[in-house]
Order: sequence, then structure tokens, then C-alpha cells
Amino acid sequence: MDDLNKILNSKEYADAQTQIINWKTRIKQTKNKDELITVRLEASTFFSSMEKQDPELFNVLKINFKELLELDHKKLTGQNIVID
Amino acid sequence: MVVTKEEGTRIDNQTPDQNVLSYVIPERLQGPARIRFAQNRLSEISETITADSNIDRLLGALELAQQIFHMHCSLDFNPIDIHRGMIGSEQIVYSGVVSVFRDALDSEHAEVAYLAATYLLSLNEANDQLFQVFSQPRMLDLSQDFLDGHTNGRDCIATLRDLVSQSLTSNPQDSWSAIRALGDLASNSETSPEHLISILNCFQSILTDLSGSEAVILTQLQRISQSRTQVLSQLSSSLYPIIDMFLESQSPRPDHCFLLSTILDRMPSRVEGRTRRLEQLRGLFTHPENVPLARAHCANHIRTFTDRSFIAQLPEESLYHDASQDDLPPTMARATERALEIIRQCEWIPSEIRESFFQTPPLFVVDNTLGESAITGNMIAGCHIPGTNLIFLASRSVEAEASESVLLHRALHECFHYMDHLAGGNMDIAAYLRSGRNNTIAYTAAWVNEGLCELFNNRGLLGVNVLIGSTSYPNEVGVVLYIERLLETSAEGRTPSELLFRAFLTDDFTEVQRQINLRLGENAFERLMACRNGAEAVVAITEMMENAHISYFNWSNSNIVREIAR
Repeated sequence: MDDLNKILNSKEYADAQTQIINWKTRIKQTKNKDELITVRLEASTFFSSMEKQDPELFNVLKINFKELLELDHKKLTGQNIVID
Repeated sequence: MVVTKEEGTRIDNQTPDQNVLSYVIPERLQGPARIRFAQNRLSEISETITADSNIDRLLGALELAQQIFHMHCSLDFNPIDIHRGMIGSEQIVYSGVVSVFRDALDSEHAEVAYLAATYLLSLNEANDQLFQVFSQPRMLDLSQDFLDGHTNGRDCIATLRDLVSQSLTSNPQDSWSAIRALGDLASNSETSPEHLISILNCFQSILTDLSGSEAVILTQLQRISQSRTQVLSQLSSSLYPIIDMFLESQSPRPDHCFLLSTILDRMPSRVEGRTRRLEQLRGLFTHPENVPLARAHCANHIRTFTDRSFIAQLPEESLYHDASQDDLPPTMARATERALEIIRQCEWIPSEIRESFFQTPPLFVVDNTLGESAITGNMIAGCHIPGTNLIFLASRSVEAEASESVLLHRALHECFHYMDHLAGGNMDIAAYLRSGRNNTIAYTAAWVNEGLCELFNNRGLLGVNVLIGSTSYPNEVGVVLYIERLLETSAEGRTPSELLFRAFLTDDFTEVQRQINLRLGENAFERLMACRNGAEAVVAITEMMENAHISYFNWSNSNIVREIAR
């Protein structure tokens, strides 16, 4: 539990959450397909790097990444999807 | 050591926290001397930089590398050498090389672009972004120049083909990104027919070399036929050999035949050879043995990804029936069969749900073309498409993790998502509370749904003595296990597990909320639903349990598998 608390209270976690909020806002506000693809690429690059460099943090945020991809996909195609 | 910038040598601002290294090429150096200076400094960095180096140091090196490229005088300079020693800080290197790559394209230095691209291909995760760059207009301009003979560089199509060939040997799955990039290029109305022919020839050679690339290539051909109708008649000599490859194969897949027939349909009827091939394809497509499977494949494919209007032409029952395991790799076929068998045996799944599930069993598809519209990266293992019985399993993961138990774990997890969908679960709402017909509160908390899905997945596996190597979403599973421990048998006689499974299927958490708030205090459930992920929820629920003097020591997360088995 201490480890989990440490992650949740870390700057990296706070920064990642800020970034996630930023991406979600961009997805919700844009109608531009290129922008949606850009967000997806940015998020994928960000989380892919995190998965390698900080797997514990990635493990915590994996579900947020999944939500982000689902949201992006829905906005892009109008289609729901459940990603794992 | 601190030396002034004018001297043109290294400047180290050595502070305890920051070892900033920057290089400035002195203005007085020109021509070969300027290049030598930059290359010497870069060489110096290459020798000293390691994976642990300070990020600023790497950025300094990359900046210098970019300066060299900007000077347009280093066509023989290999980016692999530039970044030697930097492996381990791939992200930084990657960003820098992408800049180099873009610069090289802008300045029409095809050799540098090719070298940079080759280097990027050697890095994981680089490819999707790389190929986004490939399909940009300046690449088209560049390739046009090459074809017109204005430069000595490589034809960009040939470069792409080389990249595809290279990725075939290094990482076959990455070649799909390249195939899609070629499709982007070909679909662009500015791409000349000559380019298109080069691309089609490239597709033909890929089809020969890369087993499993058929669906991706056919999807690209379909795009081309939609967007380049005007020039299709000029492409027949390159298109027919591809179509004939399918026609001459032993048992062409009906969905492939269907896609080919839509491509041929768009060709002008006067083009020689079209009618004969079309009839041949339709004969295959409508062969009595193929019809049910063809309909299932095509209907699902089209319903999911492309022309929704096609669905109206098909009998409704074909949308969800005729699922076949024939096209799956053997390990995956066994895993999916076993997943269905486990669901048959799970007596704790209400019989009406199981009945509904097996009336329209899931259609498993191993295909990375899904990523074309939706997903980037290697992190996606599978997905379910609500509204269909389609379950996609990424072929990358299928090939990389051939273990049947891993694939079974994955397939069964998606089956539970499908079951949730069949029972009326709504992915936009993780949980809702009902306090009157017109008075519901909905919570969007994906972690609840995933935690429960994985919990029941694990429980299903353990029920037939399948050992679980790892648990997906461990924090999420952990918190739903805590919730289950806090629940009691309901007034209707439903056990905590049954209560949670019902909540998972229906999204109706009203009874769960009532009991949790009773145990942990007012608004405890609401507080959990406000958490952004399982980790936050684990911390919140343990804090609330401590405040309520509930001992959870023996419910340790680290023992999650054993907990699930109970």
C-alpha cells in the first residue's frame, strides 16, 4: 500500500493525470480527424515510453490509457469499442 | 570546464543536478572545417553518452546532429553512428531522429531520410509515427522529383519498399504500418498513376513474402479503388496479378473474395479481363459452402468498419451466426474453444445469459487491421466491439505469446465483455444507481467494469484448474475483491459474488451501493466511483475500511489469485 501511495503522490503521476485531462479535453473539443489521430499518437508514445521506463506507474495508469483510446476511437469513428 | 561559446568548444555548466552540455559551431568555421568540427564534437558525444546520460546531454547531441543535417553536407553520415551509445534512451533519440528525418525530407536529402528511417525502424514503437510522416504531401513532392530525375536520391516508393522488406526480416508485424503508409500514399489524389503502379507492384511482392498480409493489403486496395476510380483502368496490368494470386490459391477466403469483387466492381466495365475475374470471384463467393461464412465475415467486417449500408442487404441472423474458428492460428483456435467450454461449465453464470451467449457466440478474429482505425502501439491485446459479436485479438500478441493459457486468459476476458454487452451492460456507464424509475445516477468508472470482468475471468479459469500466470488490471481486481468481501447475502438470497456478477452484467449497482455505504459510511460508494483508476480506489477503500475498523489484512492484494480461488 505504501508503494501505491508513493506512486499516487508522485509528481510523475500528477503530471500524467494532467496530460490525460489535456488529451481528453482535446478529444472532446475537436472535430478534426487529424487532431484525433495526433492525440492518439501522442498518448500512445507517452504510455509506451512509460511502460518501459516506469512499469509500476504504467500499471496504475493503464486503465486511463485504455479509456483515452476508447474515447478517441468513438469520436473518430462514432463506434464504441472495449479495448484491453 | 567552461569555455566561451566564441571559442567553439565544449561548454559544461556543471551543477550538482544538471550536467548541461551544449555545442555551438563557431561562425568563423565554414565549409569542410565546419563539418569536421561538428562531426568531431558529435563523435565525442557518441563515445561518452550512455543510456544513463542526462537528458539534456542527449538533447545537446541531437541538436548538434540536426545542425549537421541542416548544413546539407552530410549525405554519407549515418544516423546509426550518430546515435551510437544512446540506446536505452530511445524516446529522446527517437524524437531527435524524427526531426532529422523531417528535415531531410524538407531538404530533399533522400539518403539521409532513408538512413534516419532505417534507424527509426530499428526502434520499437517508432513505426506508426514514422509512416505518418511518409504519407505527408512533401514526401509526395519529393518522390515526384525523384521520378522526374531532378535529384540523385532514391525513389521514395523504392525506399518504402526497402523499409517494408527490412521490417519483414526484423519485425514482420511492423510491416503492416508500412503497407498502410503505402495505401495512404496511393489513395492520395496527387499521387501519379506511375506511383500507383509502383505501389501495386510493391503490394504484390509483399503478398508473396509476407504470410498473413492478405487482409491488410486488400483493405488498402479497396481504399485505392474507392479513392482513385478515375485511374483504375490504367492499373489493371498491376492489379490483375494480385487478384490472380488469390484466385489461384487453393482455398481463397470468402471475405477476401468479397473485397476483391468490390475492387473489380469499381473498374470500368470495358477493361479487358475484368468480367472474367469478377464472375470467377462471385462464383467462389456464392459457392453454397461459402455463403454462410462469407456473410458472417463480410457482414461483420462491413458493419464494423466500412459500409454500414451493406448490412441492410443481409439477413439479420447472419450478423451473429456462423462464427467459425477455421481462420484462427491453431493455438488461438484451441484457446477460444476452451474459453467457450469454460463458459458452458460456469454454473454461476445465470442460465439465460449463457443461453443468449451461445445463441450468438463470439466471432474471434485475429487481425491487426483493427489498429488501422483505432489503435496505436503494442499495448493492445484484444477488444470487443459492442453491437457485434466480434472479438479482436491482436495478431502481434497472438504470435508473440503463443502460450495457450495466456491466449485463453485473454479470449475469456473478452468473452466476459461480450456477455456483459449481451446482458445489457453499457460501456459508457460503469455503474448506475436506481432510486426510482426516472431517478438514476450514472458513474463513468471504467476500472469497475474491467476489475469485475477480470475477476470473473480469473474465477472461470480457476474453476477448471487453469493456473493464472498474471492478473490483468490487478489494482482494479483488488478493489472489487475488497468490495465483494464487504458485501453480505442479499434479502433475495444472492451471495456477494452473485450480487457483483449481476451488477457487472446489468450495471445496476444499487444493492452494492446500499451495502457498501452501510459498512463504510455515507457516500463511501460514491467516493469510490469518483476514483480515476483502481489504484486510487484501492487506497480509498482501505482508508475507509480502516476508519470503519474493518480488518482487511488477510485480504491482501498481493495474494489476489488465491483470493479469487476461494
